[in-house]
Amino acid sequence: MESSRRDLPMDVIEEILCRIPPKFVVKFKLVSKPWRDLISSASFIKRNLHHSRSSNNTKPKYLFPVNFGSTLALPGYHIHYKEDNESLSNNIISHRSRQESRLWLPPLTKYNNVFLPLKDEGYYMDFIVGSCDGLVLGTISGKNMLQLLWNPMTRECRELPCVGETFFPLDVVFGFCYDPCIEDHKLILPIVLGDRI
Amino acid sequence: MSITTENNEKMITLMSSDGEEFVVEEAVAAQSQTIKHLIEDGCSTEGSIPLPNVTGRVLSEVIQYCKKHSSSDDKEEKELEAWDAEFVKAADDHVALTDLMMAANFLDIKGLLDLVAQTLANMITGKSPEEVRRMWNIKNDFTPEEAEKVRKENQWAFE
Repeated sequence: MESSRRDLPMDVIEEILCRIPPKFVVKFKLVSKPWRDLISSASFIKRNLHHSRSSNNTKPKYLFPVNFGSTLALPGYHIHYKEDNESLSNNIISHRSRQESRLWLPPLTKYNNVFLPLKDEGYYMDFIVGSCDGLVLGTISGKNMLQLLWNPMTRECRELPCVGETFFPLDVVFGFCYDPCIEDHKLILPIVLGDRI
Repeated sequence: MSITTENNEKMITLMSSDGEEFVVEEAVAAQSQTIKHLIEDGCSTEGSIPLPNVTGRVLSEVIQYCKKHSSSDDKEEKELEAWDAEFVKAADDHVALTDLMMAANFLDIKGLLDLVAQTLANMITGKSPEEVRRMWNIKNDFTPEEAEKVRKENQWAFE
């Protein structure tokens, strides 16, 4: 009896699925319940990301894509939502400086179904702190200390706990990175007190 | 205790699930971590190593891979890559590749596992869940309501 006519063990399935780009592998949650549970697990997502990182292929294949539009990933840019455009196809981002180095975003559908967090979903990111592994960290309009973590590909948003409010209105510079020690992403918060960090 | 690991000429016999015997150099067989451990534990001194999970047809392919990869330390990486590409191409369909994948998994041969897993991954990328179920005879255990829930939760991927 050839092995393929027996049940595929889950560790073999995992070896195959962790090499499939996220957009395609997520569809396979519909194959069966064991497949859904595997693909939803944190350890699988980590493996999938690891494969995406180590792959030479430059096409977007991240569970959390980093290269969905390099302009958006530039830290220090504001996003302006154009109120009169319901499709959000003409968002503008501009640098925080008064130099107004404005960049027009091409229609967002060009980014393979990547969308900005929408106002009517209760989220409205308007300043990009940084990005890492395709996750984008930004602040919410009007609340400088409130951080929003956004996965453009899955369109999931998560509010981060309010940090550092007591330091307001001092300048706060955020950074965003992956910390292998805690196996999670980390928000770096050096606080500028006068001219000392 | 007659095994001397320094001696690359030492031959061992592998026996497939269907009773076929393969005599190979120990260095070739030891690319399989599973076989390497069996040798270290002295399991090869009694004649041959039985591999109850691998048929003769699949085992001969696995040995072909191990031979190539044990003799090519000083060869160009590019040439080996081209050889690998031809090797999986020859396996042809997903049934043969799945057999190879199961064997690589059981025998714990990392290079072969990576190669075949990537080939199968490329093969099913873009396929529908229904097509994947058919490929591997997987039972759809979702109720229509449960399937709809998964679809809704992951809407971005289904658009």
